[in-house]
Amino acid sequence: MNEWADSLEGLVTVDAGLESEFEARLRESSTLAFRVAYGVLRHRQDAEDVAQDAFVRAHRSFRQLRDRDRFRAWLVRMTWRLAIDRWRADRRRTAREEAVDMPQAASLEQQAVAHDRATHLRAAIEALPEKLRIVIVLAAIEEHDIREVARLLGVPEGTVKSRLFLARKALAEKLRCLNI
Amino acid sequence: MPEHLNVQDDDLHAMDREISQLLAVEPSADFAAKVRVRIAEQPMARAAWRFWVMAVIPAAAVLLWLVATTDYSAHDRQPSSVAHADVTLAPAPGNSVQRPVKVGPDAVPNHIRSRGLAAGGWRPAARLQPGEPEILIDPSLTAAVRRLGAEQPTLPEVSPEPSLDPVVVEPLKVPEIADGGTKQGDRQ
Repeated sequence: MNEWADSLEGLVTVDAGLESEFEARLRESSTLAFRVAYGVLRHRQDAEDVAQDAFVRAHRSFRQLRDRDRFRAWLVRMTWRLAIDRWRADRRRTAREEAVDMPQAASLEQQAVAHDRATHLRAAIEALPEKLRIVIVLAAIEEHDIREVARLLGVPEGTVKSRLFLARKALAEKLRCLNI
Repeated sequence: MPEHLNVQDDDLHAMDREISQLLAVEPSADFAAKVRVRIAEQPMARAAWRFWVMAVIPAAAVLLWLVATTDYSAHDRQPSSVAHADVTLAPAPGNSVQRPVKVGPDAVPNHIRSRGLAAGGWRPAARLQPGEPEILIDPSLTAAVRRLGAEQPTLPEVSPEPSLDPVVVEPLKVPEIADGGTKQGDRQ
């Protein structure tokens, strides 16, 4: 009986040091995880849900993820994978949240043009292959440089450079085709 | 640097800015709190999982074992399915007998007793010997025979040998041959 109680208590009790470290990671990386998920899902509630799920999984494996860089890389990859899974499971997301916060335009006409351009840009990003898509999303989030993106994805910087170049080229061509 | 490349670079930078703006979203204020809540729910889930492992699975194993052994013993007793316990039969309507009659194996004639109706009383059926035919009696037929036994508790006495009159064989009478007669051999 004591063994049973001890095992239950052991499950609930978490190392205090680990817990404080995880709190720090949660504070500094929650925006990153949320934006990665939002880059795929374009739906705030779903993106939060996916990002929270990624943090819960990270907490389970936190003993192996105490290193900050390792934690962020793992979190980004896990969030991306979960978001892609969610996005594939529910394609209706593409019709969601078309309206985004646009910078204040001078006139209604300019607002309409900006909205159209943003819509087409999102569609063009969504149409990119996953490998190119994650690179351009990560580069846009928090203005990560190539080295940081390479670290997050666990790939060489040269690979990130070439993928970023291909992604930008594909996006520019698509937008040019639409005369936007 | 050629002008068109500069323009392209400007376009790319503008595009990068636009993408950054598209993704410049912030999580809700209670994001971290929700994560903590979900993490706090995790140990309970693990405890529940451990409960299932430590309590339910052994119980299920015991149940399976019981089912397996019960099934085996039922299979073992299969031939006795034709044997029925003693039953108390109410008299048929119009019968003069007032009290129910206890019918036992002795009331059933030997030639229709099933394997379970051994002379020594009720006992589990013995295993069939190799080559021994299995005799199954329809339970309704058994019940009918019991009912018949209840109505006729004692079978009519049958004398071992019928009484026959002694056979009297009278002596054969042959008429005497006359003296004047000739024998067949004499004529020749």
